[in-house]
Amino acid sequence: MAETLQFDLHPDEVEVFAQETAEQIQQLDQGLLTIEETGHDPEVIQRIFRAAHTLKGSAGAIGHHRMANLTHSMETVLALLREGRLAVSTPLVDLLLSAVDALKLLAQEVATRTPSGVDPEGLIQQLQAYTVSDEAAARPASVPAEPVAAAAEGPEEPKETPSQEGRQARVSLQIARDSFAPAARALQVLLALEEAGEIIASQPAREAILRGEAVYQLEVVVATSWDAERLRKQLAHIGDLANVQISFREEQAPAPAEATARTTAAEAAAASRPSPAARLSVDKSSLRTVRTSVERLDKLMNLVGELVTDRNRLLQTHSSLRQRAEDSEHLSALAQAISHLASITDELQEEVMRARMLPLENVFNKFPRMVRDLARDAGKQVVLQIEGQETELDRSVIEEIADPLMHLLRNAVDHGIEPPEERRAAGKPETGTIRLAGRSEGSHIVITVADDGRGIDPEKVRRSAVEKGLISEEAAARLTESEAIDLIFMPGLSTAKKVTDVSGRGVGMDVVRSNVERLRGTVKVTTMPGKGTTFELSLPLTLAIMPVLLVNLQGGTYCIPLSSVVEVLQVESQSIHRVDRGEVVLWRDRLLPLLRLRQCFGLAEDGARNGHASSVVAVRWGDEYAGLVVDGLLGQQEIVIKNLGKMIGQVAGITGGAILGDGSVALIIDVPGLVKQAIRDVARL
Amino acid sequence: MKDQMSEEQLVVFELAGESYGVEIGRVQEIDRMQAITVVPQAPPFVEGVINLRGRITPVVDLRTRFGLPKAEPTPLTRIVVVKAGEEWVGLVVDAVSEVLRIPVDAIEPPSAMVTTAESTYLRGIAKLESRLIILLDLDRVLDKEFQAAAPVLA
Repeated sequence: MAETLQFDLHPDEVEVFAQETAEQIQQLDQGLLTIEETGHDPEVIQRIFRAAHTLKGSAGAIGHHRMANLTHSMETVLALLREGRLAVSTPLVDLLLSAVDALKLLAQEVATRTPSGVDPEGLIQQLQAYTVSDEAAARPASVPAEPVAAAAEGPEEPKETPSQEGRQARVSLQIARDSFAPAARALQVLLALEEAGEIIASQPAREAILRGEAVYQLEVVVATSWDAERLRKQLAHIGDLANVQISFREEQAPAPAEATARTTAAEAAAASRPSPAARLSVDKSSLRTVRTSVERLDKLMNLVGELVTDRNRLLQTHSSLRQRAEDSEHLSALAQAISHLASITDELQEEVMRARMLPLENVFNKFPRMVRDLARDAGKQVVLQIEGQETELDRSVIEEIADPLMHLLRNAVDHGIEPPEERRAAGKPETGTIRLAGRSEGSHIVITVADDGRGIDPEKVRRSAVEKGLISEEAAARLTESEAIDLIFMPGLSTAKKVTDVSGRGVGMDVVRSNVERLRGTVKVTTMPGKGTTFELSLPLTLAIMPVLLVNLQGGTYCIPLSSVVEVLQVESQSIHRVDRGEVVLWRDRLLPLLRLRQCFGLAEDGARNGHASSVVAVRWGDEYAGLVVDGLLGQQEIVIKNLGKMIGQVAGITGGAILGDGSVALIIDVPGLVKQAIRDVARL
Repeated sequence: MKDQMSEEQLVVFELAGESYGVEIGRVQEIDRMQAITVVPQAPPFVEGVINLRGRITPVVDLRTRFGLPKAEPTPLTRIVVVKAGEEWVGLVVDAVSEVLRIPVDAIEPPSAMVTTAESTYLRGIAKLESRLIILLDLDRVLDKEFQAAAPVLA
């Protein structure tokens, strides 16, 4: 039987705990990398100190002692760093980063409730070694002596005394609305907490409670050595209480940075015990933002989707009513209401979309650490430049792009950037640069991963593909350079000279492409031998609502995502050429393979159209094009993508369904699937 | 309470001259026949999909599912929408006749009857004074992988 861990938090709070600790851990990770690069940076050190401190508090509050102990010793080391009593060094940053890794696993235990097997004791001892040797260590020369600045930061610095005396518990609770004597209950709480320690503040104040004012919400700050469990027990016998929340803090709320810098030591000392009221009011300001679950946002988005559908339906109904009936007062009132509803729906859709947007930073900030570690393991020097991390993207897309980006960055470190000697020999700086940049472009965002490494040699890719039997020698010879480079997206191809543990197993690039395609995005590669390689990922801003071109096929309506439509053509039958199994038409100086959708979907041939011009929708997927032959075009609409359900399952050429304005169901065409099919058909010549 | 326990409520519908019953608890609603969007290359017994108040709902033609001859829809044709886990599925039937309350002891399990195959869509048969109602095992009817002969009385 595996051991189950117990923590002092409600199951509902697990997710919040996970998210908050993840944020703090991220801060630590990032900050440590920054100081490794820049050396002693008081502001950054203060930030990571604070992160470690917050983590200690959260871990302590739920009774995760190993995590609290580890963060405590990290905090002690960081305090020394901040005071300049310890110098930033690579071994120290490495140690702190290992501690961060351990923290990640320890934090996960709260969700899994199974021991992660992490024993922080070794790390704690190593960290403590730094604090002990500090006494003997001379002040590092690289750190300017800033006694005033250090003192000025004094008030923010918790006294690192192991005693629990300075600990303050903040107890907040609600008293039931139907309590017959809410003030008496509040007084009971105050009296009970007085047994635990000194009451520093309460809101409402004790006087108000004594006056007998009805109290339904009570917040008390008490200096106590008791833990949450004991406090909770102390309150357990009091009736009518609900939602009792206990948190601990050992320091004051953060003061604005500039204010801190200007504070003199004396003022600082005076301010070191801020009024409890101020403390409570600082906490209040954090109530301006609300954490909400992704599920709730998804639900909101679905509801908005329904509204969009209904708006379309109303618009359509109104226009058919107007055709039938004479224009009346009611009809124009209806028109007004619909148009108002329509604009509100648009706005609501926009707002809900925005609420679901996250800056790219959320994915990007994982990478500096990863690239650093990879480069070190590979014996390479790499700088990761990040740009446009503020670009926002729907969280459903954000979640899905982390993996493809990780593959691309690994590839850049592993295969792109050369070892320092090789770079020097090529007359390049020893340190390679990888640029990770995001930017928005209309309804898409584009993410670029560019390295200044050796580039991809089309010859090598060609050879490798032939050797691995992926294509024939003749076919390889016929490929243009850029087509040859595109072979890297084929499953089973890897040009790495040696296999490393992170990439080069021949999985990766094909996964990148298929992941991005699943998001209705594209990936493009350009490379210059000796100069570097650039990957460009283009992704839709959201996956939930999609503008489409509606087409007609044997009486049925089908949707083609507008993002993949390049052009709509009328093609005369004599300009269609047969090549082996497929048909092509000359278009924009290239052969556009045609796919007759009726045929693809096993529908009857349209005899009436023989000899007439056909409607062809030219679609693009990545660098590939195909022409979809349809019966006719019906116009554009915004649709909400819906699943066809398990009963139907995967159907070739169809990715889902949508409800149109008239209430009927239209099927959404799977453009990537069809384009691939068209190419396969024509490639067999 | 006790009485309710020993009774079962069925939605009874007609298909090629036989009466079939499904538990009322599984039935979401009963709709008139409506335009069905054909899904090319879907499993053969899936007629297509319909819009049920914003939900795309697959529709199964029970005649096709049971290997019975196809029939043109009539004014009596109905779509019985049943729950399949989280999803809804519409079943096209010739007509819905009634909602019946039958005593549990009127139901004979399939093992008591002579069936040609081990596996059938049959859950049992309800014997009433003048007629027999075939009770369907909906989970099997809705299981794409499951195939059996039509549960028709000999």
